[in-house]
Amino acid sequence: MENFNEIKAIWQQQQQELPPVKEVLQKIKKYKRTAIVKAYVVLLALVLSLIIMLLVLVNTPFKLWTSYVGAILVCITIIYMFLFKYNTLTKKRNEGLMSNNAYLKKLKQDIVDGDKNSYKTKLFGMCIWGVAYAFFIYEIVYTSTQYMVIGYAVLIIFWVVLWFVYRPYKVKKYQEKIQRFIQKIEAIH
Amino acid sequence: MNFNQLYTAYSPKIYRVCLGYLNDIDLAKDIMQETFITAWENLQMFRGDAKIETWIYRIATNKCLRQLQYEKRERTADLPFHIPDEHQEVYKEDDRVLLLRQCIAELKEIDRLIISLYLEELSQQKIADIVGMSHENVRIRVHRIKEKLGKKIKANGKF
Repeated sequence: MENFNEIKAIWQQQQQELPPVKEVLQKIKKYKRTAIVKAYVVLLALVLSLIIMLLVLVNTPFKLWTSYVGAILVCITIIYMFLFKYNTLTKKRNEGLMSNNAYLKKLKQDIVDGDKNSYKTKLFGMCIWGVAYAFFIYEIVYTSTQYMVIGYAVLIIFWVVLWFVYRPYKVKKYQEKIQRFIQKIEAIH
Repeated sequence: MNFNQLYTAYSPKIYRVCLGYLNDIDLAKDIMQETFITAWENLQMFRGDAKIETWIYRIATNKCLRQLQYEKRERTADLPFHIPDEHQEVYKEDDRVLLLRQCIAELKEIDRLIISLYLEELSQQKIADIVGMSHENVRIRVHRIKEKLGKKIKANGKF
C-alpha cells in the first residue's frame, strides 16, 4: 500500500522521553537488592524456625516419645518448605531464549503446574503441621481429659475446615484462573 | 556490545514496540525498563552481536505477552479516539500517531507484535524468529495486517 511508508515514518517519529542509562543502572541495582531481600527473608525465617525447633528438641526433656515425634515432624515440614521455596527462587527465567509462541506455551504450562504445586505444597505442609501438633500436644493434655478433648477437637475442626472448605475453594479458584488465562492465550492465535 | 551500548541502541525501539502492543505510555516505559533489567542479568551469555537483536526483542515481546496474566490492566483500545491523553499534552503527539496506535491496539495480540516489529524495520525472517512462526506465515500476516490497518486508518480519514 502506497501510504505504508508514511505510516512507518509516523511510527518512527513517536516522541519518547526515556530515562538515561545511568538511571536504568540504578534501578537495576535497586531491583537486585529488593529481589535478594524478598527472596531470602523467607528462607532466613525458615532456617531460624528450624534452629529454634532443634534447640527445643535437644534441650527439652520430654517425658513421652510423642513429643519427640511431633518436634521431628515440625522440623521435617520446615525443611520441606525451605526446599520448595529455594527451588522456586533459583529458577531463572531468560525470556530471550524463547520465541513468543514458545513463551506463551510455557506460560500456560507454568500457571497450570505452578499453582497446582504451590497449592499442593501448602496443603501438604498444613497436613504435616496438623499431625505434628497432634503428637506434640499429647504430652501436655494427656493428664486432663478436658484439655485432651479441647486440644484434639481444635485439631479435628482444623482438618475438617482444611479438607472440606479451604481445599475445594482453592481448587475452584485456581481452575477458574487458569481457564481464563488459557482462553486468553488461545484467543490470540 | 556492552550494556550501555545495548541500551542506547535499542531502548527507543523497544519502547516503541512495547507502546505498539500496550498502547499505554507508562506501562510501555515500565516494560521497556524490565526488558533491560532482564537483558542486564543475562548479557554475559552472549558472545556475538549477530543474535542480540532477536534476543532483546524476544525479551521485550515476551514481557508484553506476560501482561495477559494481569487482568486488571485493561486495554485502552476501546476508548473513543478523541479523549485527550495527559501525555498528549506533555509530548504534543501528532493525532496521526495516536490514531495509528489505536488502530494497532485493536489488532490481535500477536498481530500487534508483528506489525510493531515490522514498523521497526526488522526483516520478516527476524520477526518469524522472534514470534516463533514460519517466514511464510509472517509474510502473509504482515500483508493482511497492512491491509487491515490501511482500511482502519482510511476510515478515519486522518492520513
